[in-house]
Amino acid sequence: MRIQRLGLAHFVRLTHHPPGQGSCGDASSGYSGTGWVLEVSCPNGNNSTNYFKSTDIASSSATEGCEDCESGPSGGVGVNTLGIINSLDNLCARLVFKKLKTGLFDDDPIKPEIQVPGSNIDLNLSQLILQIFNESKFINYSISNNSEFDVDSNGNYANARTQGAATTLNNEYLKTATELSIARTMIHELVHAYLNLRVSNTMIFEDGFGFIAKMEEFAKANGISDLNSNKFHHEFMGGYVKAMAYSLYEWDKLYGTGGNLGWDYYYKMATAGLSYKNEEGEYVFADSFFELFPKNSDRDDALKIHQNEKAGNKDAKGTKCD
Amino acid sequence: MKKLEIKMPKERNVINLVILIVLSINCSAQNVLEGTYARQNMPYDTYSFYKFQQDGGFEYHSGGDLGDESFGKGTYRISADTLFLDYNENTAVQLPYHKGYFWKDFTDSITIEIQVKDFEGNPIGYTNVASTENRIGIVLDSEGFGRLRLRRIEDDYDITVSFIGYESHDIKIFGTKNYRLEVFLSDCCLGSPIYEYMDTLKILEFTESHMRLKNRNGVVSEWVKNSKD
Repeated sequence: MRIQRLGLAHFVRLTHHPPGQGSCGDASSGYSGTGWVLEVSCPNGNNSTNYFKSTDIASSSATEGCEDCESGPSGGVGVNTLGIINSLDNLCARLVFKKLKTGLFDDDPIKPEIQVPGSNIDLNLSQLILQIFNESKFINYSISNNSEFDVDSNGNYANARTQGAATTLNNEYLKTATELSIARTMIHELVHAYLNLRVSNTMIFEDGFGFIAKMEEFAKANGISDLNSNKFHHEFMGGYVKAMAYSLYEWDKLYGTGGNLGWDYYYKMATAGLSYKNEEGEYVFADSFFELFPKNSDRDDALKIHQNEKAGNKDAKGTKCD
Repeated sequence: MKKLEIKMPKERNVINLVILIVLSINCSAQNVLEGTYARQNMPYDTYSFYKFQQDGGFEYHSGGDLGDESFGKGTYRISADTLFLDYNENTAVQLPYHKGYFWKDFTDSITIEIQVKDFEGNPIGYTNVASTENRIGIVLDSEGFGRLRLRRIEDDYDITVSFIGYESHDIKIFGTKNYRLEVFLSDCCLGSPIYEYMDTLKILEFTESHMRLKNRNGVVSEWVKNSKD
């Protein structure tokens, strides 16, 4: 059965969600606060609107009766202000991530698609995800690197892994990859962390239950039982490829090659890593990858680009990081 | 004549002994694996590898960018052209669990009082406790404590206790009873352990740096030794 996609993201628009909206009696949450709305336009017309708060719920009893609504989003809890922890000891990778985070609160004329009306905040997808963690009072996103899974000198390893909200980059990967590849991996891993957060901490999102329902509907349509599985993440992530590509383009424009690689290149880069282990125990490319590139030649081209940038070879367009 | 008759077997014994020694040296060279062998031609961002030790131990890991999907440890042996992997080391993962009390009253709501901790007994603050189906839930306080009030119903509620970085735990709640629960969550993302299982892989090719194996389903795979080992 081919994937029944809920809709590939065409563009991402962020709008401000003023305080007081999303009322206390809202079935989706018992929260009233300031937040953002992420609108995703889909080719099939099934546009979706995802709400998230710019601060987390901190009430222990915000429930169907909304007893504690008045306490608002920051009602008297221990505040952990770490937010995002950059523990990368590889200087180049550390800077790549820092730059990915830079501009979090900047207005930038090159980002018209995601202009936030009526606010000074302008975000792309990776920045949006980073902002969620940045503003969270009790969930940190951390990124580091180690050699724990340097198992192969031929490049057969995972570039990175994300468990919960902790990403670890592989030292072997950092030795060869280009900055562009590393930025791409960081964006990909951030989406994993975001999906993990969506599944585990549903209640901190204004539309938490609605989004979970969409995830479950997608999983059911594709015969997936576990929302935490590689298969689910990488099939669902197919819908984020354009937004991921846009994030990568922005990073490259400001801090990489100047953003002149062409949209196709960023788009193909953003499809890296869409694979999973099938029931026979073999790793295969996700259906989302085939859907994004129905033509063999496009898939082969994308895979070559992924490998070139990972290996930092002469065909890579990014600058080698190490 | 007799002497010769006696001598012949002695010479044969010596020859046999030499053959035996040579054979045993050969066999031990082929029967011992050491180092990390990583599977080749994997899709981007995935891995599978065995770590073999000289003492006959091994471990296996396979996964992608969400960490191990499967792993296991045990002992291996090579007999003729077959690699036997006995996953006999207990790597079973402890599941999250809960314990507690329930009681009944006759009001039109029920209350679930909940305390969430990790396996070391540390509270997990701000844990999510929700019934997705009924779209009801709470975020616990910084001490991992909270009360969820639900409408009394003649049916069950499925409650999920979750926090990023931990395995989530599902609890079935009778819609007519009150609960006081203590929930213990385990670390997430450890993957599925392989235990009490014997895998047999046919060795099609074996050199110092490379193996070609065929599994029970007939799938042939290439494994290359990590040059750093």
